[in-house]
Amino acid sequence: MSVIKAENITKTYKETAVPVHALNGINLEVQEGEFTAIVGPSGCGKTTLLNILGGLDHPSTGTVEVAGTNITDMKDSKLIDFRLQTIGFVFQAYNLIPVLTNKENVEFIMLLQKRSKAERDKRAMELLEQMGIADKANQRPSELSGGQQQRVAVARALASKPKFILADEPTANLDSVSTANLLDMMARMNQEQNATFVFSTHDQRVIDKAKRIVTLEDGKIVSDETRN
Amino acid sequence: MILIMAWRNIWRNRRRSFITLSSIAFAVIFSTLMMSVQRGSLDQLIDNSVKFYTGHLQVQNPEFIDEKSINNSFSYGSDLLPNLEGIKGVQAVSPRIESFALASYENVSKATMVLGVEPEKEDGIMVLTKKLVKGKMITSDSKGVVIAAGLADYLKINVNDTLVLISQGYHGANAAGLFVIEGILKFPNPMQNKQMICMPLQQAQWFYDLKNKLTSVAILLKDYKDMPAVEEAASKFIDPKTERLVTWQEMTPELIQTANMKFASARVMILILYAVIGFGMFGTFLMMTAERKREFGIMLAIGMKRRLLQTVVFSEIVMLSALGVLAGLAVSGVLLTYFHFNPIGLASSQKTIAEAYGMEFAIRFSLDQSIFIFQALAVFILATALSFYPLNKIRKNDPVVAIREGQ
Repeated sequence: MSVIKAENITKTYKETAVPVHALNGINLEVQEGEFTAIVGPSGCGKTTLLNILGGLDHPSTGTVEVAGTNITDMKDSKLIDFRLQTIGFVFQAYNLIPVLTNKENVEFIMLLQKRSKAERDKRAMELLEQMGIADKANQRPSELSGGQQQRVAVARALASKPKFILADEPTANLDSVSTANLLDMMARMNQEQNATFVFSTHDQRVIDKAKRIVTLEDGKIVSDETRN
Repeated sequence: MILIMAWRNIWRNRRRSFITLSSIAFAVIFSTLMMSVQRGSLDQLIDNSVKFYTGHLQVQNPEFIDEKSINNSFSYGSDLLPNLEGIKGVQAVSPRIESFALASYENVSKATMVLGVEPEKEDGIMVLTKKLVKGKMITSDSKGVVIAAGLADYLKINVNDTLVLISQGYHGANAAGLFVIEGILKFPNPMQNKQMICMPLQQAQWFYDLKNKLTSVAILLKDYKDMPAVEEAASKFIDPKTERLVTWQEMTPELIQTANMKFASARVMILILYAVIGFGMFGTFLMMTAERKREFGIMLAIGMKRRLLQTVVFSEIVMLSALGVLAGLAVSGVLLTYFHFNPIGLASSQKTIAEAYGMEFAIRFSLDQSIFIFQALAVFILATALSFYPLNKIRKNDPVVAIREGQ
């Protein structure tokens, strides 16, 4: 079952004197349970594509279907709710809420989904345990290392039970040990819980772990390789 | 969790929050002090003014306020004074005859103001006894008069001398008489001190041929804020055809003007103060919004509705403002309570003079609740108005741009 279906996506930025064509006719379908890396050099359109697939940005032309829903022209307020229920996000700079504890950060997304306190507590602790940071539950993000913060961010992304997780350069700020640990966690989530991950990265360690590698150049897909 | 987030967000930048809090608290303290002194001085101005002469209310002939002639006097029944004295909130009631006469002693004459009173009752308003500087005070049964010190100096007359008074009585009757000076009074008001002659009411009624008539009944209240209720109660005891109630505002319009000017200047000062504080608060909100632009974008990206995010930020602003207001009110409450019960007085010599005139010259602080309520509301409205900026920034926040700019 495909969770993402993008057809003939283009994105042109007209704010500059010369229009910038960030994406030129992207066709991409991601199936449930995939562990996909979108790779390519800086400026090739990876983040733009992820923003469009995640409903954060609108394509100039083309259509995007997420979990069977066409989100191409969806209005802002509906898109926010759609993202909440359907998509998990992991950002390069972790972007946890600094005034909440790690557990509260994981709970927060479920609070937005209006889940019960008991369910929030239970799932937040389960996810933190799976990420190996349950002992840090009541600490603030600023008390954790970068790798640990990113694990909290992954737990937060998974907390909403999304159809898939979009991760934009998730290891860019991590050292090699933290990167390896984080990738192992995510690979395990993918294998054990069939969680779907789509990364943008140019980190070879992430690329090596990916089951599918989509390569972008100048806003176009130049290769789409699936590994066993 | 939303309120917890808002509360914790306040303390993310403790130093900035403390400065904002302090500025709000200072504004509240300063403006409540200022308003309290203004209100207190207004109360004092009214008290001193009405105690000088008019009282808070007067019963008069309807024509008397425009034409102060004894022909515009009114007849009164024996129950009028007890009825007025029995009204709740009334401190003193004094029947009067006010007119003019030419006063002569030896070869000096002067136009004077004659006030016929029941001295015991008038002591509840003008406190004549305390103004006595020489001789003795007249009583209701006295045949003599007391005169103002300035007038006595002008006429070169002294206690036990005889004064000649010539005037026109009721409806053109002749009015002339000889009156022994029983005492000399020193009035704080220079006009009164140059012109005033006080005589017993019965003597005045005889002199002006005003049997059983008065030109006014002055009423002093315990608190001028009770005036509407007293006015309503008093109106039941007067005949609207021949009598009417006149307020101190009608009798002393210049006092209202003075009070309005004082309040206007205080309002301008408070407005300037709030403008300064407003810019300070706006600076805080501006920096907070700029610093958290990326954070707002992330929250919107992960699925937080704009309205909920606006609620969090608005709660922060309200909490911060409320803390500042509460701190300010707590400090100003203590200060105002202290100064209300311990007014800032003048030097002891001036105080003695003031007391001799039956006046209060201390700086009085009002504890009127409306002062505190107004400040709390003013800051809340200011904060609400200023919150428009961050709330509008959240409304327009584009998560893609916010996240990219924060990278």
